Amino acid sequence: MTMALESEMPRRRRDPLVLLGRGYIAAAFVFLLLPITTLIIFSFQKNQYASIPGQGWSLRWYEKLFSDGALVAALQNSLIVSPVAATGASIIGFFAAYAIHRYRFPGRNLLLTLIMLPMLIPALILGIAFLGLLSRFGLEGKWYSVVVAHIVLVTAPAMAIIQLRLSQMPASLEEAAWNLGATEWQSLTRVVLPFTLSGIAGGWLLAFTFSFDEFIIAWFVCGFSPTLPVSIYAYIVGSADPSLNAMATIIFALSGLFLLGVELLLIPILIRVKPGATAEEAPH
Amino acid sequence: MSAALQFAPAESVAAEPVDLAKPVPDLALEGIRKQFGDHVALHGLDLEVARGEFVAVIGPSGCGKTTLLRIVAGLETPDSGLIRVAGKYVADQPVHKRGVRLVWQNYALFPHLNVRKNIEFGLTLQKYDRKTVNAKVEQVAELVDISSMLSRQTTELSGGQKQRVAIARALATDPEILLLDEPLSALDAHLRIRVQGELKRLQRRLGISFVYVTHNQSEAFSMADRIVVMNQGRAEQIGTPQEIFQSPKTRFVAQFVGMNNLIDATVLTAQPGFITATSGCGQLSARIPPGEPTPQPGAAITLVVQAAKIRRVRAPDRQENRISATLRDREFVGSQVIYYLDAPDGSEIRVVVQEPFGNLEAPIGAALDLYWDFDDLVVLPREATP
Repeated sequence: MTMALESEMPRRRRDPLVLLGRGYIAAAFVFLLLPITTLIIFSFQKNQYASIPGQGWSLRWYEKLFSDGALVAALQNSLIVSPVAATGASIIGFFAAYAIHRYRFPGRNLLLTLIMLPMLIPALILGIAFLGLLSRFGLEGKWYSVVVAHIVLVTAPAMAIIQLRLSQMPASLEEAAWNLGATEWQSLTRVVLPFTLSGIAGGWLLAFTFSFDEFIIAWFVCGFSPTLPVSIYAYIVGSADPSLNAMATIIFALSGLFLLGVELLLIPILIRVKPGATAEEAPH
Repeated sequence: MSAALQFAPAESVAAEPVDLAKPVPDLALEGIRKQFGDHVALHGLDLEVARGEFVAVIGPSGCGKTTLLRIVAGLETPDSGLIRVAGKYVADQPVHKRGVRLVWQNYALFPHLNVRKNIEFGLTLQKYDRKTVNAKVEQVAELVDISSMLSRQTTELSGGQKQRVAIARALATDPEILLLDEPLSALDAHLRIRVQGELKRLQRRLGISFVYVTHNQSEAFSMADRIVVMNQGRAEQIGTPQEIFQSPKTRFVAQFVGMNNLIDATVLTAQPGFITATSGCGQLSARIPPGEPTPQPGAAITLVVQAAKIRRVRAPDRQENRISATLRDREFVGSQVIYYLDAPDGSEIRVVVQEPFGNLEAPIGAALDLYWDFDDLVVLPREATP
């Protein structure tokens, strides 16, 4: 009897802790999700100003958003700029990651640092620097100005993901392709690229998300072709109405969709035990 | 155009004279040397593999056997030396142009392709039409008995099946030589023995040369026509399994292959074909096989006797090669027993007896009289022991 009591003691003492922990997690989720939820709710409300929900629903802010056009045009800009930037970043990222994975050359670490550097420089400084550089070539103020600047910025995350995937490829895979008669290019396109594809897709999505969200650099170089974050900023400065909530809801849906894609493609790579660990040839 | 025509005869003159009596070896290595930093992986290795020969390369880890395969495949460049495949020098050919195929220890199957696509990989790089490719794939798949698995993913295969796919993939492009790098090491013991037999039969049937690298002696001895024993980047001995097993030529081979007792001795008397020597175990006599030099009296030699050739004497009728030793330990290994005895000079004598509880059975610590036939002693010149 006493034995049983003793054995139950630790569990009973832990119970409030478990409850507390669960409460903490719940509070964290509320803290994170409540603003987004309210924003979505407000976008469907009749009232101009934030008020207690339930005083009438409508889609008028969505109508206003689309009839006004400025924000939608900016969204269109963003939907061109971000995919193009992400694609450019993925292509550069793949080749850079492959070169760094495959070869030991002088300047290898320098190359790696240079690609990662834009992530470490404050965006404000990068933005001013890009404006100065691009205007010297007469490239400022266009949608492709943002593309160029964003490629420089988002190659780093894209390459990081691709590098991770490449590091999971055993060296013997490429050697086997050569051994079976494939040239370097053939083995790259038929073995390395398919193997890395999930990493490239994940890197692309991450680069897209980074570019889609990026405000400061875009604000400096976009001129009269603002991307969405820039346009939203301009809108807030002028007036504020629930059209923004409507736009935010749309973006939230889009971003959610993309992040879901990132997770689905990335998580299998991240949690996967390195297949090369057992496959790697032991040195003889 | 005319320049090209003029070069043609010059080229044929420059070609080396072909000795028609001697068949061109499938693979010839001359003085292959390879160094990684300070570590010399291969010290000028020579090897010839005749067409259709099964050559096994054995040796401890780090002896250079895998480097040897990678050099033949073109995945490593030798620092010096010549490589000929089917009579053609290939040292400056890139990997993808050599007519040799490698089977990796980890199989190196392409994970994004299914079994069929893996096997046809090499074929699709060449200009074959679909029908030829399919026919060839089905042919090699049948050869290694995986016809029913062609549409499977490689991740759904067991180790043994993956290995068959790797071999089929290598064979699909009709290689001159197949190189195998420890292909059975990832299989369990039962399967390994079955696949050994299958590989050997496959090789006989195809008639192509296999160069087979392994650290597993029994694999090498059961399959190979010839064995190369490597140590520290050198070929210690090249010969048939019987030669390697019965007459090791160096101290290393005697220690590495089978289970041998090595006894250092000094030659006492020498007649052609027969010597007597003194050792820590007493006086021993040995026959020198015809054709081998007889060491002179006073020469330092190492005598090698197989653990399985030592017997126990009960009656004092035998005098030559007779020593007394104390039984220290015994170990059962499957169907045989290994006895460890201490010789008079303190060195260890190992005796293998096929029948457990045979005539060597005695309590630990007992003194036993042992002898062996003088035909069973192999005489090696004494090497400076490391």
